[in-house]
Amino acid sequence: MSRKPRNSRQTRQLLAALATDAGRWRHGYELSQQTGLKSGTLYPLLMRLSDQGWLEARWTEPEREGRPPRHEYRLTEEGAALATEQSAEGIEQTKGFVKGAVLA
Amino acid sequence: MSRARKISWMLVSHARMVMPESRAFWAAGMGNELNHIEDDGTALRWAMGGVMTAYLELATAVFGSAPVRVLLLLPLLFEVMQAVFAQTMSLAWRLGATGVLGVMGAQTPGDDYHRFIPLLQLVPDWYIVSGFLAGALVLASAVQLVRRRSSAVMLFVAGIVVGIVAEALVHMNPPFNHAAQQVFQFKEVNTMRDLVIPIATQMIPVCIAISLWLATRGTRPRVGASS
Repeated sequence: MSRKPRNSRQTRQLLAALATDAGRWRHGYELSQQTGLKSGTLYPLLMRLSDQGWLEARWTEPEREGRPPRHEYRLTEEGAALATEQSAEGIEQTKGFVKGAVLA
Repeated sequence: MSRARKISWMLVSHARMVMPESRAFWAAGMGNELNHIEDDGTALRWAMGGVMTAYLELATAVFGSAPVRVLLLLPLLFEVMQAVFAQTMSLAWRLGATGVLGVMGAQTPGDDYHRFIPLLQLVPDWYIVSGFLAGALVLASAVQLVRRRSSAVMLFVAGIVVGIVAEALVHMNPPFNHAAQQVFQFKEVNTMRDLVIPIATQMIPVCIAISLWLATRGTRPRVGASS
């Protein structure tokens, strides 16, 4: 089994975006717009997620004629499980932070 | 086609050339997205990010290769030696190992250990321990580099930080600091000894840390993960 990634803020952002409607394929530019990540940050993350087996990538036929094919991405089952786990961890951390702030 | 759009296409084409073969799928995907970005400024920034990604992946492929990692072991072992050199001399002085002191002293400016005696007498125990701790951390980093583990970077940085902190603390001791100034005072000016080597000594760890990061970042692509 592959190692868990270190949860950088950008990785969590990307996983959260991909986990929204997890079965849907997304384009790179769409993901960039959704997460606010620049291509220089987004693509190394996509490659890493794919290397770990958490992301599927494929070529798709262009929507309009005369345009070249495009890449699409979506989480694998393992990737979706990881995204859910990270999201739950995030909620727990936020709860802990709020609780701490209220008690302080 | 606007000038910005032309430059974007040139950059994307350059990124495809630079990107390692194993990542060609990604370079093509990133490049083709340009067709779907309407704004020229956004397209240019997208292409610039593509070039950055391509060079980063190229550097990772080069530094992560086995021959380069083996080469990287040399400066790492040099850092280990540097971390423990003064401490080994101090230990040899305490143990009365004059043979070892003679050999080590011959490697220092002045080719003799006798001028270090005032300093060796003032070296505290914790300074010796810290040097060996720093050396052990850098050595562990070398092991992790061979195994291509990203912890190599943190271990190396930790080793260097331990060394720097110990050096700063020991110089806060006025008698030690005074003795050090006496020992390392030379009558004649030597550009290599007084300028080049000190600057290189500061820069080498930074270069090593960046190289370690490039050599160990990410993981090897799974065969057939993308096609």
